[in-house]
Amino acid sequence: MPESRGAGLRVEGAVKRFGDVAALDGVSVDVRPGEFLTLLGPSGSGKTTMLNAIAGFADLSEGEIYLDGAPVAPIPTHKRNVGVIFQSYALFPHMTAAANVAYPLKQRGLSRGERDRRVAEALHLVGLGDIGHRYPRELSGGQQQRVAFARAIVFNPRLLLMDEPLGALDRKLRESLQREIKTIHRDLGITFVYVTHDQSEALALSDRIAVFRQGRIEQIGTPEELYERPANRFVAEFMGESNILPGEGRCYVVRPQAVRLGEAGLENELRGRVVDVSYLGASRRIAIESGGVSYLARQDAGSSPAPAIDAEVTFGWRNEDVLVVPDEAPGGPGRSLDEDRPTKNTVLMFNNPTDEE
Amino acid sequence: MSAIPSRLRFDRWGLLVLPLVAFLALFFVFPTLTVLLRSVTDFNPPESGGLDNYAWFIDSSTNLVVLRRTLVSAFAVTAICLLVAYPYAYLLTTVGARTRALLLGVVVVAGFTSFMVRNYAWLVILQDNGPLNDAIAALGLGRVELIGTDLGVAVVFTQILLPLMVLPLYATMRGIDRRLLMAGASLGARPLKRFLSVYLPLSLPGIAAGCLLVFVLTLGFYVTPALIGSPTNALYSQLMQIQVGQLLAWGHVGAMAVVLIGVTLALLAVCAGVARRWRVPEQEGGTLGLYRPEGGWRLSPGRAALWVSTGLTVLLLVGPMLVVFPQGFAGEASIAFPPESWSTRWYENFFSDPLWTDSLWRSLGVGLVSTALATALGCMAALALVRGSFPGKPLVGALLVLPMILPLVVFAVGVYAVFLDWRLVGSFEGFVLAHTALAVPLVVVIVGAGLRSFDTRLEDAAASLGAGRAKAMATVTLPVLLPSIATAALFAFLTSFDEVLASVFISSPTASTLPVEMYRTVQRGADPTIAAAASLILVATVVLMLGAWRLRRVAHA
Repeated sequence: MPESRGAGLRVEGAVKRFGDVAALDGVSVDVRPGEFLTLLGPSGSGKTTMLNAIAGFADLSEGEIYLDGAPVAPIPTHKRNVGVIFQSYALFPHMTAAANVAYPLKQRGLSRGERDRRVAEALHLVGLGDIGHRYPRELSGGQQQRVAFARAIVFNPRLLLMDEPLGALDRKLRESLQREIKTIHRDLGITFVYVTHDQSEALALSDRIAVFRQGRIEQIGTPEELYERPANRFVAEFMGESNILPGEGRCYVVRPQAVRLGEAGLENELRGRVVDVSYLGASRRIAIESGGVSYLARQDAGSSPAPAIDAEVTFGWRNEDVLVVPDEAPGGPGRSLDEDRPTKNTVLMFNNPTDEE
Repeated sequence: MSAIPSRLRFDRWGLLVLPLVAFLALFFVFPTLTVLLRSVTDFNPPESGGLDNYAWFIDSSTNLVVLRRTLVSAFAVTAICLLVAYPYAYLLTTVGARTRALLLGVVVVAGFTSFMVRNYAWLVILQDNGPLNDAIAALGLGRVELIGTDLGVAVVFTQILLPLMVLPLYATMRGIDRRLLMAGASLGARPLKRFLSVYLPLSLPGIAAGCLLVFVLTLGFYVTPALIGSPTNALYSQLMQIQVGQLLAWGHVGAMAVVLIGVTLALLAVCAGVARRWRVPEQEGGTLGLYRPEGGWRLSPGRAALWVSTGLTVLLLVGPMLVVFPQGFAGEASIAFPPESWSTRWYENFFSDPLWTDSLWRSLGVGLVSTALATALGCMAALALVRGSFPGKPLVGALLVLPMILPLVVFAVGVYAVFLDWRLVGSFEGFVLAHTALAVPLVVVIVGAGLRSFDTRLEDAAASLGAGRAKAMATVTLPVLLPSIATAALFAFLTSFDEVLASVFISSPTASTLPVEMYRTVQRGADPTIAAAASLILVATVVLMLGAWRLRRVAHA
């Protein structure tokens, strides 16, 4: 097993302009050695631009990137010793899987015997033993993904960058590969920076997540922090389904699983009509209309019988399940959002949000 | 901080276009302009000046008669080519991959296999006592005079230029979204109506491109009318050849060239208009038009007619060339078909007569050197066009299509004019320079297509794995593009090896290339050695093409 410590990565005030458009607009982030950080955001939010800058595929317009405290700007990509896994895998089509994995070792002038040993080791680590002689076109999508992985870690990089590496695979394969990526991260102990637009993937994999939007980081934190204490409405909406109730410059977020049907003693109670019920396996998702507003509820499929469509129901939630967040991100990064963050003591009283209109 | 927008500056890649631009400016544009300019600078004695050459052109009824005859026959050839090629190209989009490769192979081999071979083969077939006339006589229709007639010339032109109609048609048709036809059907349109209102309009860009190519080439190929036609019903390009080759009347030929280019440009404007009007963005390189129902087609009368027409077309493309094989083993020195006795003396002659061996070696040498030159210049220019930015990028695109849309006789005469001044006539370098100018656009097109589909992330990957820029190009970019480059080089070689129009002008009595030697032989009365040479060329070309095809298949499997 290659013994390798991860690099610390620091990005300071990164700005990248393409003409008049800023793909990165002042991004700062500190990644601890060995950490798994995910850059999460919709397409065009700057996360891939950030990755390209770290890898050295593109220069920053302003700002600085440090690897283990040293600025990387003067170092060309091929000397950075940073592994990259591409969305399209970017396997060399004219080389076998083994030759692909051997490529970085060849560039570093390793002897043939040493190369063969390390290639076999890396292929074994990603669960591919005997396909080294095949060409990429003869491999399935999942196998190509694994070869790309082996190729990116075989030279013991301090940092591994991954750009939507599972994007082209079907869901089942994605989930099993997610588990493997986590295991490999733990075994290697190197720093991972992972780009995705899939929030469930980000929640499953990461030590911390940085949520990108229009070239800025909206919030950075552990998956729990982001899900339970989103900094603003954008993050709340991006981290999964929610009921967003507007207020004055702020809004109230209630996760669908906190919405209870037919339960007495809730601080907030509404009556409404069931408009849709979808069965999701372990749970079901219920859409309720009340006073012209749609609400989503989620309940365990086994807990109670599903309500009928068009049925009149009473539903509601507890105050402690309500999150208060700024409506949009008015201040951008740097502004403290602590004062808006709900605490156990902040008790919200409202009976019907439509009354506020 | 620079105030100049980036598209008006040379970036690192953009600089790579300069060698090609310089080369074409010197060896393509300059010769062409030289000829055009001579229409107002070069006059025949006695005293004259100004627009005299144009006055001569208009005063000569021969010129006008020949121009009209040439336009009429070019229109006829274009129309026949379109009628024959359209069903063929359509069938190509509706068959399985294997059949498609075979039918496309026939077209490509026919299209790039010795122009001179085919002219000679037709001479054998069309002669008064030839196999075609035998067949007509057997049907009880008497004998038809074909050699020396407009009809004969038109038939040969059609066969020679047909591939150049099929290829652009097929390129367009494979991009036509078949679902549109199904949509038409679901909206209640009958098959014929569907074809006329949906398919035909969408295929117009291919029709325009094919017609333009065929028409312009018909205008400029003086070799076919010179060999198959007769002086009494000469075509325009023949007249130009005579004005220069026999009379050295540069001013006259300049005026004729200006008129010919004027006609071509007018036509180009029409075709470009059609192409723009009907341009569908996704069409290029698409495959939405390829469709074959699960389990194949039901054999309807329409489908049967399509196959019969395609079968006849294959016969037309391949059949004539086959006559060279028996001719090469003829016992007697005539073009009678089939030969009355057999021998191998013409093969012996081909390999022992210094006239033939010299020209063969020269052709091979010129072919190899111009292939290397065209491939190097073309690859650099393709990199610049695909990856770089430089001022005048659209102009370079136009410069590269010039050799395809300019009547070649103008280029041939122009190269002759400047090579006389530069003392390059009959020289190895002269052939190389002229052939490279004609071959290089093909290289740019083929390598450019390969580069466009090249995933640049592979280079990023190589860099992230520790390869510097030059190392990444050498270990990743070049090997991945190798099939495209090899194909481009093959076509460059075939272009050079087959070139006859310019080569006839710039060869000397003692230094010629193989096609020129064949041309001279046919003019002298077709010594069967040409058939032996033609047989060898045919076999070599087919082997080369099969090799290239396998190479591509291995690379894309």
